[in-house]
Amino acid sequence: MILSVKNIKKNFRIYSRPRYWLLEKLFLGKRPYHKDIWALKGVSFELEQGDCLGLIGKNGAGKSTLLRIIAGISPPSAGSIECRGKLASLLELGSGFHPEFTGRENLRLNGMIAGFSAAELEQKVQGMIEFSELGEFIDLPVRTYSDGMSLRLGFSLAQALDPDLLLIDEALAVGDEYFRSKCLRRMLEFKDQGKSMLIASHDLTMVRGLCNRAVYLKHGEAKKIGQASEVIEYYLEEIYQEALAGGGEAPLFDAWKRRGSGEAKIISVWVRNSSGRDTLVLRPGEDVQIGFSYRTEKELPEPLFGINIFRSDGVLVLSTNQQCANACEKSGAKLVSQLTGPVPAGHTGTVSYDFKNLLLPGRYQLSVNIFKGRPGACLPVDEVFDVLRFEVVQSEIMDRGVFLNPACWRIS
Amino acid sequence: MFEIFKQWRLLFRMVERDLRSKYVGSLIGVFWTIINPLLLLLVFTFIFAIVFRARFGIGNGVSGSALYILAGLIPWLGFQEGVARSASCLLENRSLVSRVKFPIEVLPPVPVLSAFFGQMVGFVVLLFWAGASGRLDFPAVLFLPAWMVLQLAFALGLGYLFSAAAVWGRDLLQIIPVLLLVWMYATPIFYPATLVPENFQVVVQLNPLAALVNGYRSMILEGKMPGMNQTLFLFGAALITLVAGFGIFSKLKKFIADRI
Repeated sequence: MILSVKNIKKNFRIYSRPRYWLLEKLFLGKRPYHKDIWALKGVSFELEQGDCLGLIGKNGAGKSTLLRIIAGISPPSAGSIECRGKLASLLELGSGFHPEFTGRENLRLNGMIAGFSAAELEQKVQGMIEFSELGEFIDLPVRTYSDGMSLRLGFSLAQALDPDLLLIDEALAVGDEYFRSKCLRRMLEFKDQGKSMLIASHDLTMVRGLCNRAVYLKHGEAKKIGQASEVIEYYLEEIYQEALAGGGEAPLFDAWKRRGSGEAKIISVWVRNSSGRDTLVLRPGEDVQIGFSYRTEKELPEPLFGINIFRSDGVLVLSTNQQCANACEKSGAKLVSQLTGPVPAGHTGTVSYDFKNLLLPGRYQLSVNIFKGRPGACLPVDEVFDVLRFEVVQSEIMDRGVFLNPACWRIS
Repeated sequence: MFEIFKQWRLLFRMVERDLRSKYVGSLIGVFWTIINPLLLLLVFTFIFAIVFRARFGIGNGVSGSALYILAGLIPWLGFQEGVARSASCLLENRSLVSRVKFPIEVLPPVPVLSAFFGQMVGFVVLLFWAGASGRLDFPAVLFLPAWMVLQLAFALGLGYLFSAAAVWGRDLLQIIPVLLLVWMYATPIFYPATLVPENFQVVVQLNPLAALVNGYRSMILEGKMPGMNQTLFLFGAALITLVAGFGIFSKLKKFIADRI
C-alpha cells in the first residue's frame, strides 16, 4: 500500500467580509461570524503500489481540494493521510513556478527543493528541458508562457522527479495533441514501472484508458469507489438521470447550437441501450437505439429525419437520414414509416434509429435534424448540434480505430 | 528553522536572482545602492547640518555631519527595505505558497538578505571614507560582523512576523510603510541621541534601532566598541524578535496556503 487516505474532512470558513474574522476573534468565538463550507465530508480510500486511480466528479465536488491535501499543501480539518514513497504533483497550471523567473531557473529551483545534489541538478534540468521541447522559450520568464507552455514545463518537471506517486489535476487538458500524447506515453511508462498515479480529470476516456480504479466524488463524498469502468458508467448514468430529472430534456438545447426554419421542433433526444434504458455509455456490439421526438408547428410536406455522429476529435463517423435506408439494399437497412404524405401541423411523433453498435471505444457527439426537400436540395427545419455526448466503453476484445469490423479471419 | 539550512542553496539562488532582477534591468546597476542613499544623504545633510545647524558632536564641518548621518542612514535603509519587502513576500509569491509544497520559510529571508547586500555596498564606501578621514580603529571595526548578525536577526524576526500576519490582515501592508517612517524619525539618524529632550529619552533607550545605529557609529566613526548595556539590549531584542517571529510564523505556516 502506497497511500492511505482515512476519513478526510475539509472545512473552509467563509467570512462575508474580512473584518468579520477579526470580530469573531475579538469575541473569542462566542459570536460566530462565519459560514462553514464542507468541501470534503469524510473521504477514505487506499492506493496499492502500481494502482492508477482516477478521481472524477463535477466541478466543485472536492477533487482539487483532495489532491491539495494529499500533496501536503493544505492541512485536512480531520482525518489522516499516510503516504509511503516520494510524491510529485502537477496541480494547477503555473503552480510552483515563480512568474518572474525563466523556465530554466524555475526548473533549477524546483530541483533544489526536491533535493537533487549540485552534480545531479544540471543533468536533470537538461533532461527536463529536452522533454518539454520548449526551445528558446525556456529562457523567457514564466509569466510570458501560454497555458500549454506552462503545462509542458510542469509535466516535464513532475516526470523527472521520478516519484513513487504522481498527482495530476486536470492539467493535461490544455496541452496540444502532440504533447498530450507524449504525456500519456510517459504516464503509461510510469504504470509499467509499477509506480502509482492519482489523476483528477473530466476526460473520462483518458481515465478509463489509464486507471484501473476510480473514485466518484460528489458534494465532498466518495459516492462510488471501484473498478474505473464501473465507476465511470455509474457517474455518466447519474449525470444523465439528473439532467433528465431536471428539465425532462437533455441540457444542451442552447439556441446557438440550433438552426432551422422552425416548422417543426425537436423536443427530446435519447440514446437507449439493449435493456431499454436511456444511457450515455455503450458497449461495442450491443443493440442501441438513438431516437428523438418532434412536434410540427406548421404543415411539413416531405420531412427528412437525420442523425449525425461525430467522434470527439471532430471526425464525422456517420451521417444518415431515413431516405438512405432505401438507397442500398445490400446494407440491410430498413425503413418503417407510419407517415403518409405531408405531416399536418400540431403533430407529435418520434423517430428512432436502431442499430448494432459498431463504434469502437471513445467519446462521440450526436446531432439530430429534420430537413425538408429532397436529398441534395434540402433546407434545415430544425437541427440541433452536439445535443448528446455518449461514450463507447471497452469490453474485453479490442480493435482500435473507428468501427468494429465483424470480419472473419482465416489463418493457416 | 532547520529547513532553511537544508535549503540554503535555494535561498542563495533566490537572493541572487532577486539582486539580479533589481539591478540587471537598470542602466547603472549596482550603483543605485550607493546613489540612492547619497541623494538622501545630500538632502538630509543640507536640512539638518546646514539649515538647522544641528551639532553632531563628532568634529565640525559638513564632512563630519555627512559621515554621522550616513553611518545611521545606510543600516536603516537596509533594515527598512528588508522588513517592508519581506512583509509582502508571501502574498507576492502566491503561486509558490498556495499550490505546491514549497518550503515557505525560505521566502522572508530573501528580501532581508538582498537588502543587506545593498547595505554592504554602502558600508564599503562608508568605511573607505571613514578610513580616509582617520576615524577607523582596528579592534572596534572587527566587531562589525557581530553587529550585522544582530541586525539581520532582528529584521528577520520582524519579516517572519509581518509576512505571516499580512496573510490574515492585508491592511498591514498599508500600515507598515507609515510605521517605518515614524520609526525612522524616532531613531537618532539625522540627529544625535543626546539632543532628545529628557522626557523622550526613554523612546531612544527602548528603541533597538537606536542601539543598532549608535553601535555602528561608535565602531565606524569613533573607533570604540559599543557599550555593554547597549550590546546586551540589542542582543536580547534581536533574539526575542527572531524567536517570537519565527515561532508565530511556524504556528501559522500550515494554514497559510488556505488563507492566501
